[in-house]
Amino acid sequence: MDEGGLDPIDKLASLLSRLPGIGERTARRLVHHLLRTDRGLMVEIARALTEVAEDVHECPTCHTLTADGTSCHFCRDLRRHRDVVCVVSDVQDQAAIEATGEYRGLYHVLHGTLSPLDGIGPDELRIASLFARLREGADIEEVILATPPTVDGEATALFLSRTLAPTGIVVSRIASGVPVGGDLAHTDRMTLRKALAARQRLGHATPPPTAGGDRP
Amino acid sequence: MSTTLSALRAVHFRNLDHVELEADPGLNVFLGNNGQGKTNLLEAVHLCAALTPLRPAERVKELIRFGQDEAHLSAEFALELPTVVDVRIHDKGKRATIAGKPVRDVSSIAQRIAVVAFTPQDLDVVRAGPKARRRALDRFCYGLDPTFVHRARAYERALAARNRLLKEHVVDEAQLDAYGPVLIEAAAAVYESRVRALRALSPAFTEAAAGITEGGLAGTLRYRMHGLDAAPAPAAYAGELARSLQRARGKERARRTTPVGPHVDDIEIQMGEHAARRLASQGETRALVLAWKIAEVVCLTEARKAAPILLLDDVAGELDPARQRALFDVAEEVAAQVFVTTTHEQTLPAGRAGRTFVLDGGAVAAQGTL
Repeated sequence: MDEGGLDPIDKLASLLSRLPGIGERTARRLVHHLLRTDRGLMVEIARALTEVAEDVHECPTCHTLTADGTSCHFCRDLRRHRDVVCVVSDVQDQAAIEATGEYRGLYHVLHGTLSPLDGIGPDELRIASLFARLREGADIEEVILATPPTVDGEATALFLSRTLAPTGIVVSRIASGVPVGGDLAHTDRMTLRKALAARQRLGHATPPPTAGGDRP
Repeated sequence: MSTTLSALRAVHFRNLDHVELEADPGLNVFLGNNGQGKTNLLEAVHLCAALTPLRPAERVKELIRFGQDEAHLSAEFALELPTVVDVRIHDKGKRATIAGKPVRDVSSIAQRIAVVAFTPQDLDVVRAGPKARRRALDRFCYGLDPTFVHRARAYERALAARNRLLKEHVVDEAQLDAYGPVLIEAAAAVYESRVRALRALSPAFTEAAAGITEGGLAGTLRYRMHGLDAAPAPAAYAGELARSLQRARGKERARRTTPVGPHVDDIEIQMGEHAARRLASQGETRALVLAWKIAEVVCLTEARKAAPILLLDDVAGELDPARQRALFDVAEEVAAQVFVTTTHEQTLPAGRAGRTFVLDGGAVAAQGTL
């Protein structure tokens, strides 16, 4: 759509309504809200948008989004364990794992999952660079696959585990099962079945040292 | 306790211009000549109660009254609390809310409201191919176990992804291999739900078939896994399907589509030792479909501790008075709310109290009591 000929209010509303979850009516309400209450905020938003648009880029190593120099702060942080890479489908999932505080290794962001229905195959994801990274970085010993437990996320994990097999690197998949604080009687039967199949012996449940947990 | 609809409003829905009605908790009869809007009103009830169309393969746009932009349905249900289901249909799709909250998927309504519908097209369940039976069983699965929606979706997605890969000019074997186990796992989940549903439905079906024919019809339901013609134990299904896919590899490449799985399985309706599909007479076909519906009502009432809403489209045209009576008796026994369309009030079994709504030209022209 060409917004060139519209008046500025219509133009802004039309642009905002292209965002997910914002319809035309909401877009209009937002514009009028900004006009009524706080023009300074509009200028700040505009400036922040420009900054994000110009400065944010993918880290050349792990492909997370960063505004720092070239490499992101995860890849530059020498205190992080460099022998384990956690593969996630997007930046939000990466943030969720980081927020646990349990993981101190490196990341690799695929920017999506396989999705034949949307025409997304391995070439559309940051998979080639993952392999390049594993070939070059001799110290990587484990890859944790943390793609989502959806049809496409599981297929992506399987695809990666099979293509990674010849490299000899340990490949693991995050567990799926009963949520903490959940109750068994109301857990979906298939989830429960998976949880049973992936049960762990007590006393042996600590992850291997390469899983990136705290080490001595 | 039973699930009941207490009030319905339909605006610009199919040929209905603006209809408002207060429903009876028992029997509701939509009267009128053909083309006046009886079935459309029944469809409005179904759409609010299940958020899916009553008749299969429906284009959303056909639901909007000609010349209008939007159809709007609103129904109040007497659940633990009075709950309003609101459905707006426009040419791109439909938007629904339950108690003011947007509905993400149909499982949220299936948790609250169960519906059993009987339309003349349901005779296909006995006569037509496996698709009609799978559809009928899957609908029952939604009612029995609302999480079935997620299982069915996951399987559909895996199947569609895999079929897309098979249709590529050069098949990407690595991707196809990755979707294989995902498909099998999703298939096993669908199968588990279906077998569980069938285990509940089958004895009730046998009993109902014998009941309405005074013991004359020995009806049973049996799951038939495509290519195996048997029903493996749920835990064994994944393995069977994996072997089946392996065996059908050549066929799969030639046809460029996944040839085995729950999307081609069948539920066989048997009369005695034989498949009803080829042998059932007109009368037996109707008795078997009726038995299936009665079994659904009985099983859903038991599983949900609340009777489903029963929607009957022109049953007088399909069932003789004695069989209609059997259906109404079951509805009364479990205290199910019933909505029925008919051209003549006299065709209905007498006795149950309720309300009548006479439809004329897409509006309620008169109301009465039974």
